[in-house]
Amino acid sequence: MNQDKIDRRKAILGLGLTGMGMAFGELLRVSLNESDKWTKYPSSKKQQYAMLINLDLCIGCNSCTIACKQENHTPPGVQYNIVLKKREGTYPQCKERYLPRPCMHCEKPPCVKVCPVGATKKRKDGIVDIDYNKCIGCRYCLTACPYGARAYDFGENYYTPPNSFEKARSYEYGNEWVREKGKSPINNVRKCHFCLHRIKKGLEPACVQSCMAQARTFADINQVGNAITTNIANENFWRLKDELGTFPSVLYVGKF
Amino acid sequence: MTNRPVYYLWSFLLILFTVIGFLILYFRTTQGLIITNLNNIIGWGLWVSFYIFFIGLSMGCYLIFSLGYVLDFKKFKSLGPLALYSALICLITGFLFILIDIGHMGRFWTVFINRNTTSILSWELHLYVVYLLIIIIQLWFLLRKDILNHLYKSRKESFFTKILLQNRELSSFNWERDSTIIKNIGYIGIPLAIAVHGGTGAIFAVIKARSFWNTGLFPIVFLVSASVSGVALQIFLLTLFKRGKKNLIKSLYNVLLILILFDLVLFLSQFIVGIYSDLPGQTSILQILTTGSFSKLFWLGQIGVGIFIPLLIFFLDFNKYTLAYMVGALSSLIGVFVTRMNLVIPQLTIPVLNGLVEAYESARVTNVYIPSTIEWIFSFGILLFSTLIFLYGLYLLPIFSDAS
Repeated sequence: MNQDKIDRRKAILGLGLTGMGMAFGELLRVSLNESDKWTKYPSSKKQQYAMLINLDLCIGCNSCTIACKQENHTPPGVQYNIVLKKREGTYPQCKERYLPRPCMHCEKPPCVKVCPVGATKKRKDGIVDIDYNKCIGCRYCLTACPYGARAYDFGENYYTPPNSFEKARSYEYGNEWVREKGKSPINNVRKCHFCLHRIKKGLEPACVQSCMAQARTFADINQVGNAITTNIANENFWRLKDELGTFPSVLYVGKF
Repeated sequence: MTNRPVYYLWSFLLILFTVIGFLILYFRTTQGLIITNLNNIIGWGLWVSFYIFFIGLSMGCYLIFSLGYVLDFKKFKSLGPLALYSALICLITGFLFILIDIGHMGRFWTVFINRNTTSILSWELHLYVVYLLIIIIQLWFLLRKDILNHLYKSRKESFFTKILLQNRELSSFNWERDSTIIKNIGYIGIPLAIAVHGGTGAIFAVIKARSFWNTGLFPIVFLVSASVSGVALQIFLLTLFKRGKKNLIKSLYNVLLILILFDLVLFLSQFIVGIYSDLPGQTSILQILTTGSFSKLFWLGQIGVGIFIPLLIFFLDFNKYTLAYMVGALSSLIGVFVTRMNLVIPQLTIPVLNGLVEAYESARVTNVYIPSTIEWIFSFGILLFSTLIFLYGLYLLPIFSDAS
């Protein structure tokens, strides 16, 4: 025992190595944690919200974009839902195809991983959540999102001074928010939250309800007999940028 | 430290600029990032480029300090105090740039409460603090003898004198131990400095959505070009203040040249692999750099000023003129900064999905970014402020006492 005394250098080295080992272990644990969740259905979670968008039904009217704007009172430049367009061919043999893009609510979200303050988190029901009061506005998540689903609130308004609609409170992530200078959600990164406040009341997200072609279906896929069950069972869907391994909760049917 | 009027002038200037700076900072806090030309496609711009430039500069300077004091290269020992001191100021400058870049400036301290183990940035910010402390401790032990000697000689009963001397005689201090302490701390400091700046590169490299960044080479590119800038800054400062012998500057310039060439090799490696693989994510960015909207910055800034001029000065062999070395070092410094901009901004101008920019009409949804005038004013304000602090400290602290 007495022969191998621990001197200062050994102690520091040991502590350093232990710390590095713990850090490495933590990283390994987090990155391996249930990585193949989406390959098995139903998953072990109680709830898993998902959205199915049928591109063959979508007519590109952007009513989902407008409905989202109205529901969440988003300022100029901040858009939770957009509709991407793709044109093929030349007149008269031409086609236009549409791809509505909300937040994908990935099973392994790259944005959650990078947030330095842990302000954005994956909820147990599958929704990727932002804590506006924690967010410092560093825009790392905005850069890291492979779908461009995040937007920074620069504090701009459509009207100066803002009209009653812009000043009205919104209910993102189940809380009440009024856009006032210097206070959240201004100077935060914002994104689609599957209209969490509406889900809590038993309603569908605004974009789903407003879609006149009924191209969107929203469901808790862990409930028996939900609207997406057959698509999932038959593997009749595709996901955007699936090769990145983010496992989005937004599923597409049809061609883009 | 005898020239009183100059001292008062510096103090006055420093306080004046600090007050003006804080007034402008107030403007920034009330207005938010609305004053910048950043948008929702290009979320990081000029300030982030400056931030990574200065963190890299700090690491480069720290490594030069370590050459002499930790790795025992006798030749570079005289550079130690200046290199360590400039590492400190560069680090603080980097902090200032990242501070004004975040949306809620008042919440910056929460990064030390709300940790996220999977976030590189979270780890980085903690490492910065440790790195800062290590630099300060080493600087203290490096300059302790001169500072205490001076305080003892002036024999003024002030608060600082009491704290630092602790009523002890100068002979009771063990000066011989200082260099051992500096060396032992340096064993942690060197890997830490590399982790600090390699980590800054990793902030970008871990983003899988951006294929130009998402390579294992990216953090290494950061480290090498940071070393280039560190050596260049030391040559620039030594020639500017007319310190350091000519052969020392000459050998530093040789080191600079080797590092520039190594940096070029790494860059070419990334470039060629990108072209060869023919993936749209890779080729589009190389096209933007070589012939697109960033071609002027690339050919004139990165290649011309950053590589060609320093090489030219080396091969034309201006042995007699230290001014030539100064020009070469300065041009290499500017080149590294342009490289930083070229690493950050062009990648962001490519939207992650086709048609992302066209899908929504807004001034904040565009893939064009030109820094606004206010962004430049802020940047120059911070640069001026850091220069003033640097000169102020150079005046007060015995940095040059044994360098010449």
